[in-house]
Parts: sequence; structure tokens; C-alpha cells
Amino acid sequence: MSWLTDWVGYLPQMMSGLGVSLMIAGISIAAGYPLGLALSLMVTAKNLAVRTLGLAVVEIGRGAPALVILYLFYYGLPKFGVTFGSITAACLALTWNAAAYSSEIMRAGIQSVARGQLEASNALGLSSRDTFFRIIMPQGMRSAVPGLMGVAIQMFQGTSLAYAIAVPELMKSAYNIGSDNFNYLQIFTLAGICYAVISMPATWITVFFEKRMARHA
Amino acid sequence: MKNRHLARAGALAAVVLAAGMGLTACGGSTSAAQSDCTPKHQGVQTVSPGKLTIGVIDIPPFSSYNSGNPTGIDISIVNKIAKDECLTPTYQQATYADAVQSISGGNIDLAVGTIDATEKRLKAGDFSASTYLDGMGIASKSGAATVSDLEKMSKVGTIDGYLWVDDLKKILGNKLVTYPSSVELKADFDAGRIQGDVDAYGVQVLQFKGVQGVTVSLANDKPDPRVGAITHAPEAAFPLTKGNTSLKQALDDGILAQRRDGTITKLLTDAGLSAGLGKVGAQQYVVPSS
Repeated sequence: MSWLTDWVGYLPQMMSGLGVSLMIAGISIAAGYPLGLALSLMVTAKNLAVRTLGLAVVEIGRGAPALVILYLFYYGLPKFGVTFGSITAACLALTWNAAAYSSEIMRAGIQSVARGQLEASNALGLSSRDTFFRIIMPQGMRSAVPGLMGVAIQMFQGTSLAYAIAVPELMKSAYNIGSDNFNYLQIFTLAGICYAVISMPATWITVFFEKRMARHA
Repeated sequence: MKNRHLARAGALAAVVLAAGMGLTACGGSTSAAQSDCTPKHQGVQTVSPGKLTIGVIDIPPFSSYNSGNPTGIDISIVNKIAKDECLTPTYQQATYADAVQSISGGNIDLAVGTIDATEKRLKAGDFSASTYLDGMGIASKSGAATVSDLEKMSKVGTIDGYLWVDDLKKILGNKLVTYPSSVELKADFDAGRIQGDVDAYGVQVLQFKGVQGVTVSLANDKPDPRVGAITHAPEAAFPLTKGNTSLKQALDDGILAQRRDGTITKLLTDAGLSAGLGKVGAQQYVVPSS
């Protein structure tokens, strides 16, 4: 019971950290998905240079651990005269991460649209632009939605890495409290619960969407 | 044919037996050496009999894990105690976040790395006698030496867990940025994001040794009444399992002996630190809960 009493005392500080975590996750998802769509189009482009550039951005974004990208943005760029604040650096690094992962999901979604749809739109005389935005995109994105929701959850959890670059997010709040009294187990359990309170309903929504997609497949 | 096989098997068995006996003999000699050793305290309880398992936090010059060959002031102190108690020191890397958890979980006996004794922390574990004072250092390019000098800066950095963090937060507000460790703090100081680097004085002396244009000052020399941790410097000690009185007694006596004979002061001065850091109170100063 004393844990519960302590947790109530810690909650205001934790909630402030949770707010920062949600803000960073929201920004990186909102910016990462459109960028991911652009990257998925670059990766499937006919032009070799565009395709190579797209692939490089996606593979570095997916291949390098998010923490490494965070460090590069925060500690690496000042060496080249570019200095971002910690929250900006975290948003940029996680945006790249979100874009790289979502681009692959979107590419798979777009490529899953039956070829007959393309042929039918050609037969109707639709322009390439209309075919893409009115026929391919809506269908491709529909099947990409569960995967994109998974990336969103991953991004939210990934905000915990921003602690390493002094962002006052949820994990940093937990570390602050823990270093005061050494009750790290108690405070990390509370942090885990805070992450779960957001992530678990999001996972259920993802499962719900997956089931709906399967029903209409 | 069968006899030849038997002979070979016999010879092999003899070799294995001889090797085994040899190894036993080696083990025996070690045991003999250990049995020759008389511990200063009888019946010291440790998580692994005959061993003193130490969690090492990286905070040079006080302790560095150094790929399994730890070095530093705390390491020298604890090694001497282990030797006096006929215990073999074994090390594992630790962080501030997991050290005390590992102690209470029975994975390690104690942790080293300038951990200050506070009332709140004493609820989670016991602390040995104090080893040295934990001074607050200010590194800057402007020559800042006091908290008032820090107030003139646009951004100041320090590390989570230090006892001056709360007081500095009240004074500096959003100007204060906290980091997980000295590594990130210094990286941001080097990047120019912060003008003042507030860290353990001993760490800064080593970090900025030979760096042109950066001064390191011991804030405790000009204490500010608004910051409790510099009006009364916290004392570093080794946290250990709560209730392990036999180990606490051995550590306490070992530390007091090294304080009395000047070993700790020499370790501090050898590391380039002020001998004044060795002047801990006769009674351990436990930082009270605010």
C-alpha cells in the first residue's frame, strides 16, 4: 500500500514527463508518415538515383538504432555547426525512424493492391495521378493501417531513449525520482504502467483494425 | 588387441588422474594460502562465500570498470579491505540506476562510485563509513566559481541524482538542464549548448585537465546558503545490503583505518584532487531529507 501512496506523490512529475513523451511521439508520427509515404514512392521510383537515395534514407533509418540517430542529431551535428535543442533533436531523430519504418509498410501496402485495379483504371482512361491518389493509395493505405499503428506505438515507446539527450520525458522523470531515493524498482514500475496505459489500448485498437481489414479482405 | 586397448585406457586414466591430482594440488595450495590468511573480522557475510562482489559505476577518477580491470580511488580502498578480510574482489559493471537494486537483490555486496549517504537512500540500504567529501565543481569558460555566477548564464548543466540538483533547480529554473551522466553533460558543454558544467569536482579536474580556456572551481570554497550540498558537503560512502552488519563493520573499520593512516588522502592527491576532500566529519554526515 505504501507503494500506492508514493506513486500518488510521484504522479504530477510523471505526468509532466508523459506529456513531453506524447508530444514527441505525436510530432514524429505526424511528420514521419508523410515523409514515409514520400520515401516509399522514392524506393519504388524508376529513376535509379531517386531509388538509391530513398533506399539509403530508409535503410539507415531502419538499420541504425534509434539511440544512435538521437546521438547523431544531438551531439554529432554541432560539430558541423548545426545545433538543435534536445526536444527538436529528439523529434527529428524519431521522425526519421518513423519515416523509415512506415515507408516499408506503405510500400508493401501499395504493392499489395491487385494489378487488375491498375489495369481497370487505365481502361477507364484515368490519369496516373488520379490512379494513384484515387485507386491505389486508398486501398494500399487501408491494408497499411495496422502496421502504421504498430509503428506509432513503437515511436511512443522509443521516446524513452530521449532521456539520453536530456529531454524531460517520462523516463527522465522516473530517473530523477529514482536517483533521489534509490527506489528505482518502484518508480520504473510506475513508468512501465504509464507506458502500458497508453500502449495497451493502442495495441487493442490495432488488433481491432487488423480484424476489420481481414473481414473486408 | 583387447589388452592394448585396456593398456591405453589405463594410461589415459592415469594421465587424467594425475592431471586431476595436479589441479587438486594447485587448488589445495590456493586453499592453503587462503587458510593462511587471517581475516580482520570473522564471519563477514557476502553474496558469494570467499568473494567480495563489487558493483563498479564509471565515474573516474573514483572508479572505472576499465573492461573488467577496475581502477580508481574507491577501487583501491575496497581492494585493501577485501585483502584484509581474505576475500577475493570480483567486479561487475553497474549504474546508479541498478546498483542499489542489485545490492538488495543479492547480486552484489556493495557499490562504488561516489555515492552520497542521505536519509532517503538509507531507507533502501545501509552505507559504510564515509570515504571522502563530494565537492561540487563548476567548469566554465567564463571562470565561474559561485552559484551567483551560474545565475548569469543562459544554460547550466548538471547530472541527475546529485544532491545540489533540487536547490539549483529552484535558483536557476528552466536554465538548468540535467543529464544521465558526465559523458552527456560534457558533450553538451563542448557543443556550446550550456555555459556552466556542474559536476563532481573530482570528475571535472580529470575531465578538463589540460583543456585551454576552461576553469574548474570547487563551489564548496565559496558556499552559497541557498545550496545545502555546498554549505555542508555530502560524504561519499559505499552502499551495501541493509542489515548486513558483518560486512558493514568490516567496511567501516577498513575505511576508518585508511582515513587514519592517510591512505585515502594520498589516493585523492595522487589523482590530482585537493587533500581537503579527505576531511570528512568524525560522525558521518547523512544528508537530511528536504
